[in-house]
Amino acid sequence: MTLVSPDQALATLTEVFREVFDEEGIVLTLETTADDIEEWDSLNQIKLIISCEKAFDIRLKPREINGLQNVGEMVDHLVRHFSGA
Amino acid sequence: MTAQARKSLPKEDIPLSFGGADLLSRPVEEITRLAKRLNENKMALAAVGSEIKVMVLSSFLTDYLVEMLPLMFARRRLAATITAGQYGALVPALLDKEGTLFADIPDFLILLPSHRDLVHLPTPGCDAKAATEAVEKEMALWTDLWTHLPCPAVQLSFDPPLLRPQGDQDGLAPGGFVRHVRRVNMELADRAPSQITLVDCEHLVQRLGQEKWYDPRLYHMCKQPFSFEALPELADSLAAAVAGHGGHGRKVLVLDLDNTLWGGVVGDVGLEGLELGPETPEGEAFIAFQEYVAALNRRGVVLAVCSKNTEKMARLPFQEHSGMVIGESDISCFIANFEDKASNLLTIAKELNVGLDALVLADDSPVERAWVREQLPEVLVLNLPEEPADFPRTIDEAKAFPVGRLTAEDLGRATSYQVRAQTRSAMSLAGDMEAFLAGLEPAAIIEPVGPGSLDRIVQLIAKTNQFKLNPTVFSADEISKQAKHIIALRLRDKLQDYGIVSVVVLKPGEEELIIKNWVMSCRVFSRRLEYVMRHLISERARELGAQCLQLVYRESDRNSLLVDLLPKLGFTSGEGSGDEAIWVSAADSPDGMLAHHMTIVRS
Repeated sequence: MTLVSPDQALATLTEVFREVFDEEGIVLTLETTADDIEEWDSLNQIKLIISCEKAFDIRLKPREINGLQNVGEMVDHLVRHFSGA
Repeated sequence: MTAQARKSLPKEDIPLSFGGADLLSRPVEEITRLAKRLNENKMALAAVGSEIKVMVLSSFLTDYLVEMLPLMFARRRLAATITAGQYGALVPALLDKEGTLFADIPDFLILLPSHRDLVHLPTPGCDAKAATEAVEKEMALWTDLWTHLPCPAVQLSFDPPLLRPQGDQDGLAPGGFVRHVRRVNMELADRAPSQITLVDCEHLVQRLGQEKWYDPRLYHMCKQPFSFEALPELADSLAAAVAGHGGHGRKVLVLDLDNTLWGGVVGDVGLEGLELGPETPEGEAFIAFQEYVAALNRRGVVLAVCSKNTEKMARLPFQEHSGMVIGESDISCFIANFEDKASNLLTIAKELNVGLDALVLADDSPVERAWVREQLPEVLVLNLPEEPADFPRTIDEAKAFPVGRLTAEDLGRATSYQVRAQTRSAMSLAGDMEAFLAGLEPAAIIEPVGPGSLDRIVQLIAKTNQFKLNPTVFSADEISKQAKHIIALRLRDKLQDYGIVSVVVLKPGEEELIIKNWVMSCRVFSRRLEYVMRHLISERARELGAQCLQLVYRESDRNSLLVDLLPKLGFTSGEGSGDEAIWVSAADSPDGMLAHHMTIVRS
């Protein structure tokens, strides 16, 4: 499996967020949470999960994702996933 | 697809994009984004066309569907406001007369049940009789629910279950669940009242494939029983059905000839050089396309030709090529010249007496398509692919000619438009209009209001746009309750039978006779049938002892021809506000009305 660096993961996630919210101006940081993006509700959360899966070509477990506190934890999750850990 | 897809989709692209004929072939994320932009841009949404209020009642989560629906309505020039009933409360919403549905009744309902709502499942291994009883039990609920509808509705038939614990027996044996769903769907179709238009969910699932349609994990996450991939087709089919039921479907297929209806340019290669016949795969593909077009024509889609050719050359294959499936007589309006296609489409719309938004153009030339799109955005211009074998599918998938239920009039419509175009050209030649009209030997036949005519009467009132006093429509039930105050006229002449083409709904007042609505099909304009109807209304007024007639005329962007016509029928405009005014007339027909030359036949 190809390794994904935290920077790569964050960049791809940013693309996903911009696409789902149709908002070019979104800039994600490791500290970004659902409170920072107005439209980030449970329905958009599902869109985010599905788009992430397509962008990274992986399958995510909703249970694991829903427990994540911020974008940084998502980046960690992805990096771990691709390192096979 | 992320970064690139967005670059190809600038924000200002909205108005063009929702009109694009190939919208559904784009990735679902892109369609969702377009829908979102349209929803956020109230100005763009309001500008697409007539407003329509739609309420979605479902037994599952519809938020994503509701987000996408306005885009699919916009493609049909309807500015839809979509509201959703409470999640999962389809049945209660219809039964609770104090609830939100009845407090603010929409123009249309969309009913979305799923197979999870079927509760009387046959026992595995049961016999045919028990299985039939199970179907009947399901039907009892739905036929009862339908009596509570406050407005017309589009209903999705039940989705076939993905899982088959009984294996093939699930689809084949009386006790199978898949078979139960199929049978209930067929019964729904057989028993649906005219207010209901069904959308065939089994077809949608087949088209996309069960594997793609269902996403069990998504269902468990949010209770949407189909995948995101399924959303565009589903939303589009629902919007098409609403448009079809409301009379907003398109009516005329305009065909180019060279390389559209046959392979090759007839002016260049001559009759013998055309590819049209079983000799080559391409020739066969053009035959298959013509067969599909002929099938559309048989069920009421009007055909027109718009070709850059001399008329003689354009007609030659129709007259002499053995491979032609479509005959010259199937074409209601035939235009072949070297003028630009946009002008010719205007002529076709005028000849057939339809709006530009009734036209669909099938033309192989991207240049012509672009020109027409730019000049006449109301016309739906199909993107015919390179491969003629894919032409039929391109038209089919556009769902441009939706139909709720076929009536005898639908089946006869194509002929009727065609004769109309003939009478028009005859009229411009015949100097003596009176002699011409009388020579057609027309008869106005008063049709009894009953089971044989009910569907057509309801449909005619709903679908008419031009000769229509106001937007009031009636359900089949309402029509049959006031049958004695309704006059329905059939027109027949020596050329053909047009079916029921005009209806008035009357209501006796204290001293006046109220005309609640009056419609006449545009197919019979200039036949003076309205003067016959005016006489019949006077007759009815005399019988009831009414002194005067009264009606409410509400001007729309389509029915302004009545402003000129009503005075000729003796009405004068009285009080009113905005677009709406009360018009009155003495009970008797005015002196000096135009002669109608019709024999009135009373059955």
